[in-house]
Amino acid sequence: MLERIVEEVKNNPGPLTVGELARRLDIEESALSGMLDYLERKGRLSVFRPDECDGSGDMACVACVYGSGCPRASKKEKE
Amino acid sequence: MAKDRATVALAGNPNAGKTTIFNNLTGARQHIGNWPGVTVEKKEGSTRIGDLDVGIVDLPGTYSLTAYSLEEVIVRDFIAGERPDVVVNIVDASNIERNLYLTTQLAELGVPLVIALNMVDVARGRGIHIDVPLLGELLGSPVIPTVGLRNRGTMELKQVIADAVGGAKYRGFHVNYGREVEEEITRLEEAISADDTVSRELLGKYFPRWLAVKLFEEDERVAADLERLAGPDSEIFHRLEESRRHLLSIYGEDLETIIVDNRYGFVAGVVREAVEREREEYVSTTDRIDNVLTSRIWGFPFFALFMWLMFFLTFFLGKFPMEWIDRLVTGFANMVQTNLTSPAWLQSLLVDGVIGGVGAVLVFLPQIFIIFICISILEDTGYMSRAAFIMDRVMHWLGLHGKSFIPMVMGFGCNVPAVMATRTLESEKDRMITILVNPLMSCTARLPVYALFTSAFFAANQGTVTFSLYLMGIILAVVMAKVFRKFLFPGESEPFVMELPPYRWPTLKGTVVHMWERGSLFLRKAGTIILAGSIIIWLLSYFPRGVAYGSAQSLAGYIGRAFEPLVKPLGFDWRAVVALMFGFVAKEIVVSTFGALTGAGESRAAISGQLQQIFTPLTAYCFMAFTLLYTPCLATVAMIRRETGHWKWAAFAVAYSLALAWLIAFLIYRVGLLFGLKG
Repeated sequence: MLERIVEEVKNNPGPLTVGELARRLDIEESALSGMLDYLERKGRLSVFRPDECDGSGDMACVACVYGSGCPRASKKEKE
Repeated sequence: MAKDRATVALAGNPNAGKTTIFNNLTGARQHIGNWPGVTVEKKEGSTRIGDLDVGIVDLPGTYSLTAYSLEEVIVRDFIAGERPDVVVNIVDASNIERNLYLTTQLAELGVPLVIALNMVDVARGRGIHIDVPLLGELLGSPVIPTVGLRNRGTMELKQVIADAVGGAKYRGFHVNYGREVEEEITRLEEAISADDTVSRELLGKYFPRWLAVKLFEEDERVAADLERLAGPDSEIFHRLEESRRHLLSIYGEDLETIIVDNRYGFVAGVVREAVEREREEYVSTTDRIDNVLTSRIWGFPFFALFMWLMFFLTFFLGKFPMEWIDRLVTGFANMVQTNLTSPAWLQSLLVDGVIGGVGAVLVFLPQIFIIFICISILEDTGYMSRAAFIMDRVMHWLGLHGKSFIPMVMGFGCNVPAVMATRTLESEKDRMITILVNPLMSCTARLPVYALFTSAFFAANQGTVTFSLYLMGIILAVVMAKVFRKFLFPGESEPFVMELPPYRWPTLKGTVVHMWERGSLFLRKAGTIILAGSIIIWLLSYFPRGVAYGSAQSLAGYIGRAFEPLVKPLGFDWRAVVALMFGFVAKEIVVSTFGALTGAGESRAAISGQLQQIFTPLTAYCFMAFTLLYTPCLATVAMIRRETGHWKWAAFAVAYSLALAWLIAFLIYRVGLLFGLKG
């Protein structure tokens, strides 16, 4: 099952959302999310979650348009 | 003799409704504290079921029982160490496939398991039908449907708990990992059981099978315990190593992946048997919107439309407050000039240098704020993530993979933190490409330059012209990413998936706060870097004494004329050279420099008028393109040096962007001349 996920992502010609991948593999989206967490931890693929930014300089920051005005990062610095 | 006291633990995924079930079971009889030694909340309560006193412990929500998080360790330590009489596993019926993964691990701990199938109403609403008796049979455990929020199923759950405490026997289940794996697990179990110290210290708490599976899962805590008790050279670890080698040769996977994969496989099998989903699946509003906004056909046109709209609004709405600020700054400069009795140089420093330099940039404050409002709205609604997704499609079309899409959106804010944030990209090659193309994305510091030039030369189409520049930055970033991938950093990026957040309505407060937090940085920059830059420009424009301020004979003029031959083929003169040189410190200073060198000071209208003497619409567009593409600002260069660890990459970023800027401006200029435009 995990191998199928990696293969599907690797062979996909364009960008892929978790929802689309879940539909293709007929796996419940939340379950797929758990599997992706595992595969990400193992370094087999990566998952970009823009909604999870906490200003800590993780993946989400990279695509963030806040620039140096990131309120979450400045809040974190103050903490 | 029947027990009169029992302990029940509630375990489940986060958001499975565990706390609601806990409240339903205990009512007001609750106590909240902390787990020993940690700050994770511990909730305990009690209830009576017939003659039975039941203490209930609400365990932290967790998705699995590995040792990766504190919550996971707390849950498994409590269940293994305290051995509650019953573990109630709260399973969210609407996300059953994910929730049952934890169930497989709870079952492995060998405690009596009762399953509360919660939120069955939500599942039904989404067209998910669960055959509850069959599910119970497959899991060998009682399954009680509940709706925690409506307190449904609580009585039945209590009854099953009482039955389980009273000695009712349930078969339970464990995941069958396949013949080869099971054989290896059995061998390892035997080795664990054969070790006297391990048997004495651990087997009272844990089953040997559980310990064996955990060793297969590379569980550091279990491995450390066994190493401490049995020693690293014991039969247990020899056995483990042999199993690892043997199974790797069969499956080509590490042990942990084999275990995890089998668990998911087991859950998928259970779901296939006991769960039926209606053909017409639940389609959320987010899915419906995404069907249009991220579709292959409409995704990019909508993205372009939103971008264009953003710039149109920025200039259309911004022009009114901009005129007010312009008048205010000009009035203030006139007042200082009229009323200040001081030496001419000091008056010039204050009026031409400080007020002229900073004021010329401050005039664009409304537009900066409006663009930040637009960006905040796009981000708060969740659209900006889609923009990244849409642009990623373009990158794939060019043969690039994964995270290379990131520069497509990150540069809109500020390039400095964007470069810094690339450190979290795992692939060094992706990271280098991301860093190098990042400055091609038009950050907000370039906006005052576009605003000044478009108001002077393209007043009727300010938004469209600015949009074209942003688009040019995006296209060139994509092209350069492709070039760098091919020639400097060949290879494939790791595969990746994107989790898109649901669409939300932006809140007024959130939008205003975000706008202010970003916009105030611009104000701070005006009071620091731009102020300092303006004073230096003043010095270079004022000296040597006796020459006309900002003239070709001033120091600035001397420097500008020295480099003028380099920009002549682009249709620029020495003033453009000086402006671009100071723009290296901060791009906004380009505007202040023109204020000083044209002698127009702080008045936007006056600067515009003077610019029309220096540029034509064609050369003005070339100049904006050059400003967009040429060397990153000083802070970004310093960040590139820090993040790449070498000055050579910082120098490369400066050199290639300068060459690119020159080439593009030259092409635009020459093509424009060919079409008969005035150079």
